Amino acid sequence: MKTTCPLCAFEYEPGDESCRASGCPFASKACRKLHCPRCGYSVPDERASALARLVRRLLGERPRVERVQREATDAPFRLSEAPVRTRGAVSHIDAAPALSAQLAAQGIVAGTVLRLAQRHPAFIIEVGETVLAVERSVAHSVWIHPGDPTVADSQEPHA
Amino acid sequence: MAPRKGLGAPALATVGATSDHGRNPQTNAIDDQTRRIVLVGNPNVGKSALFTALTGHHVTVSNYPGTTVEITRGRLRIGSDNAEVVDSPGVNSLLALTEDEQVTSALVASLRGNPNAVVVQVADAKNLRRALLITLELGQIEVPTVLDLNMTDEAEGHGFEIDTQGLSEALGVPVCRTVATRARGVEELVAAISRARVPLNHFALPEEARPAVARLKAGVASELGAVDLRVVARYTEALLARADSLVKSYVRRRRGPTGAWLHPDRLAHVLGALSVHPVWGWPMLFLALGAVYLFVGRLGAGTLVDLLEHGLFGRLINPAVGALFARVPWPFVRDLFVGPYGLVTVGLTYGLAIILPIVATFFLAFGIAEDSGYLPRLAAMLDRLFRAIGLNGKAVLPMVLGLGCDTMATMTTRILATRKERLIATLMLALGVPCSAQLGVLLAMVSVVPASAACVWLISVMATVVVVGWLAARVLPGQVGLFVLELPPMRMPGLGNVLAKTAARVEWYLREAVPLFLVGTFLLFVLDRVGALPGLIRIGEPIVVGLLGLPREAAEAFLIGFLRRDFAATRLFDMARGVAGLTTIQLVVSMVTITLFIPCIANVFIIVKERGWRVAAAITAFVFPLAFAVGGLVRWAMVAAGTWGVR
Repeated sequence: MKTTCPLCAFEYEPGDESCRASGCPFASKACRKLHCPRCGYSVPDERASALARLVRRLLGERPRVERVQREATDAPFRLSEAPVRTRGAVSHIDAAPALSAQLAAQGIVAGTVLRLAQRHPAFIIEVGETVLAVERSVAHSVWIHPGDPTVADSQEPHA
Repeated sequence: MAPRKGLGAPALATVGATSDHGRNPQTNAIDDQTRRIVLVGNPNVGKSALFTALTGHHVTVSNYPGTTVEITRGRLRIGSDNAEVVDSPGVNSLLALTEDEQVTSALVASLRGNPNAVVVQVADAKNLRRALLITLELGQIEVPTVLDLNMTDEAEGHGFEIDTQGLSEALGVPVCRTVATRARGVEELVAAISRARVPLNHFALPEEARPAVARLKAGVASELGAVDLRVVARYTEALLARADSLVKSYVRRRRGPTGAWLHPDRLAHVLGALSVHPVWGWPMLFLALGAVYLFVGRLGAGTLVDLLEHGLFGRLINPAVGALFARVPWPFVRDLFVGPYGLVTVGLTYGLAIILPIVATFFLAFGIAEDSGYLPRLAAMLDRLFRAIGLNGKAVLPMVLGLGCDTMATMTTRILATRKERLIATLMLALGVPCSAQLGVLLAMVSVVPASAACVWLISVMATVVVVGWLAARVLPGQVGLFVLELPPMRMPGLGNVLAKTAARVEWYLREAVPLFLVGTFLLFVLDRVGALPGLIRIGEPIVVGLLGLPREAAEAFLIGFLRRDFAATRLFDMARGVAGLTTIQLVVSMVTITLFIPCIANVFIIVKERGWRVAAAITAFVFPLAFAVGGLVRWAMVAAGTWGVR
């Protein structure tokens, strides 16, 4: 999982290889720091910190590392993997016909622009003025293109 | 389409309304003679509010989907003509996927070719895209339609501008603007009914989606195969694409929602977000439960019951009636009204002095929760917990409604997607969800036992519900539907609507429950007079005394518990406060047993109606023995623990 150095903005894959390559003597699985191989700047690994996860959850956010990764790619991904506040257009729905029909009746079809407002305890999805609560497996079947399609001028939630 | 008969100047008048209890959806077809106005639309867009505005007759209006699960009919006077107005359950698409949607689909399909039928499609003006899906479907079915953009005040508040004229021309139907809750624009809507037309649907439909149109016109069955569902999804996608292009052409958003932080819309939005927040949602939930407990348990079951029972009935009514009947020379008549099983001293006192204040305060609290939009958010919060008992979060709605009345809630199980879920929810309602009347009495009983004993009652009932639900989820065949639930916007509950709803429910209680209380009392009186009561008590002795360890007289309570369990609970509560009283263990055992009883005889009838007599018989044969078995188990465990005495 890639991360971006907050000091030099270099994007790197944290882990043993890059750490060892930079010559860090503490490079091991027990290490709880992310070490930029370009500038050497190190930050605590949020993913390894239960407290950081709690704070993020209290603020309704996902760990930053994950969001950075999502912004870096244009490929469609599952809504269940999207960080909170992701906005994008539905690429396709990978679900059994019953769920596809149910989602279509709720206005969610390929091309519909939606926003993920929350992930726990249920996934909260905003489609125009409609707000839906769905379980994780439903969010897992919806693939979205990341990005921020402009829909602010109408009710039309189509990209 | 042939020109329609003019309806003349609108002049609204109230004639009344009825609900189609017991009717099969397929028989909701409308005859061709009377002019019919059928209200159709997405859930929670104000159909029932418009129905009230048109007919003047109050129907239950709430801020969550599934309030209307049956057809309701009322009358509207238009000029010199009478028209019938029909309110239908909300649908997201006329290609029905659930049992409640099927009611509306069948109704709309039956309107085809009826020259006197008009559909008034009620739309949330803020959410036109999804409404237009139904408009386009109505075009496919070829039913004359008027499109009513309701909640235009909210849409304007959100900065939406809708070109009504342009939309009307594009769809080929009259488009009106209303605020149904304030009866704004209703007369213009009535005037437009005479101009209703079939919506235009001149757009290319994909070839593979065409079978869906035939299904739409026929009024589809809810159990669809995979191929059909794929067609439905493809068809809906095509219609939504058309709806999107219409929205793009005729709706503009000039600005976002009203910006001021203290604006009610903004506060409601923040409150809505907090109530489903992964962390803050739980304190909000406990806060809401605490508030309900204080309002119903303390104010209703405590203060108001004291005032009515000891004040009004204890000091005024019962002594006055007693003095009146003291002059009656026939002991039989005297005992019938003011004896130990007297209709006034027991039946009316229980029904009006003890239960009425409890149900009234509960209905008031429930009305506020309904109108605020909190209940669907509660469903989202509890989805994962409900999975353990083979249900999903959507089942929270009938369960919470069951705290008001299990009989009404059993009908609401229709909103659940699969037969298995509906069956489990029906069983859970019959087994472990106390109705408002019973809950109030139970809360009053809780207040006279130690906190630890109250916990035993709560844990016993919850454990029984969870274990039975868990087993039912594994034993019953079928699937559990996926959790997809629309969350309506949080709103400040309207005082008028909440009070009207409470009044309607209290009236329902007085009409349905109080007569059963009187029947129960009369039954006991007759049994006592003919000398059969001691015999029945003897028959029940092995269970009541042997298994549950209760006094012999408690058999009376369980006997009438078959009619209404809240009546039985009240009887037990009365015994507890009597001279002999009940020990802590006896109180808890009786509370557990009576909580697990089937709520009332009306509940059995509604299970027969909704799920068939086999299911009703199976649930009845399962619940009553289980209630006694759990009661016996609790008694054994409490005696073994030795903390609460030995009886």
